[in-house]
Amino acid sequence: MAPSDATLVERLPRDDSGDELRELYRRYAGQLFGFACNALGDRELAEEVVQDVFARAWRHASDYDPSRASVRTWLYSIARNRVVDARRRAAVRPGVAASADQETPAELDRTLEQAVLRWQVAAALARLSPEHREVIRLAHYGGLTLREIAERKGIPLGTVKSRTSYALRSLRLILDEMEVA
Amino acid sequence: MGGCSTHGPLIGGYALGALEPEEMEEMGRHVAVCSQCGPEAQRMEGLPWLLDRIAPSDVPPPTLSPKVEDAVLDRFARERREEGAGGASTRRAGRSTRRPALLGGAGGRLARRPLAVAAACVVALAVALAVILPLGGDEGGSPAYASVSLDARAGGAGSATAWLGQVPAGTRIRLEARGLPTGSEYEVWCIRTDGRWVSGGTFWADRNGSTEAELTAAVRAGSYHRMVVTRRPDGAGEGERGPAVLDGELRY
Repeated sequence: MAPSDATLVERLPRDDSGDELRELYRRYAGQLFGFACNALGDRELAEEVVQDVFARAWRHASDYDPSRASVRTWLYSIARNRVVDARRRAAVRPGVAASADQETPAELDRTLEQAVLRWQVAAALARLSPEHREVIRLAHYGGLTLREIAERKGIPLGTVKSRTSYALRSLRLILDEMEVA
Repeated sequence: MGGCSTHGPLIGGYALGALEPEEMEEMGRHVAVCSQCGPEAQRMEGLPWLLDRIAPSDVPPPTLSPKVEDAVLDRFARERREEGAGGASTRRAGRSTRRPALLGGAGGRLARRPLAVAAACVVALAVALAVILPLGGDEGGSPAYASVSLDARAGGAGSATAWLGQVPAGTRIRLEARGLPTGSEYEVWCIRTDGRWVSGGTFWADRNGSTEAELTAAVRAGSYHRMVVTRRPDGAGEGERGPAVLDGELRY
């Protein structure tokens, strides 16, 4: 049975092989990267944030208290601080998301929450089958009715209806797993 | 297909508003009374709002280069080697690290065994040399290490230590500063041997005057010999340099 997130973090201070860190990285690096990319608009800076998050995680693993927050929340709070630092450092560089100086802390928190949400929704859609993603794309983003989708794709209307319902049920389940209300 | 047998297949189209007008009306009446479709419609009603958070081009989300995992694991392995040699106690002086299994445990054993202390010193010296001298070998980017202690200029306050490592983008600077006057923005500079100042970026000190920052400067190991921290004047323009507050010579 795979160790829980909290167990991995608990073992980090004694992890000489790097196995626990590698497992934690595989569970969270992708979503942290997506979050940082959305918040910073810069892949290179986002990669640095991911590295820094895991460096802090292993250095401060003994400070982690599972009764106060999930590992996911803990890692995101580290990432949030690193993103704020990165935005401040990058404030003078063109092409990077707006300076943290121009936002109040509450606005900044909202921006970062939105960045997390954007990544989660995109990641959830990416986990759907191509057929399910397609009907959502055509109906929601393309503004087509199910009848129009059936005509455009040359498939029976009944199939499009049931496919759309399956697609939304799957999407809801995936978002529930991600704790997205 | 879950949901009720008559209207279950319509629930997805209803949630997205993608049914024909008459079907939308019929479903609206149905979900109000159906014990299966009603709760399901409620569960789905937030989905259009969530889908509006992104553009279709956001799917799939950006993926992380495998090089980042290598970099994380390399960094971890390096720090573990340094800790194993007792380097962490000096490298992170003044910082509250809690590693009983690695530091306290090893210290207790060594104190009881003088021979082990001597052996550990030899290992520590070897690792310290490996850390201070540029590394060759097969590690990506052949990281070169140096450290520098930065002291306050006359009449100033504060001190800092920086550890330097080679990365493809230049030199990664990990800076820990203490005792800096708060409320100012500071900038780190690497002074090249040809006299050019290369900025590593800016940072703020916290309310205790401390900071822990990671910065990158576009310089290579060996091409610079001094580091300076300046205080940026209020309203300073890009490229404008403030007065130096800390400086130090590099030890390669």
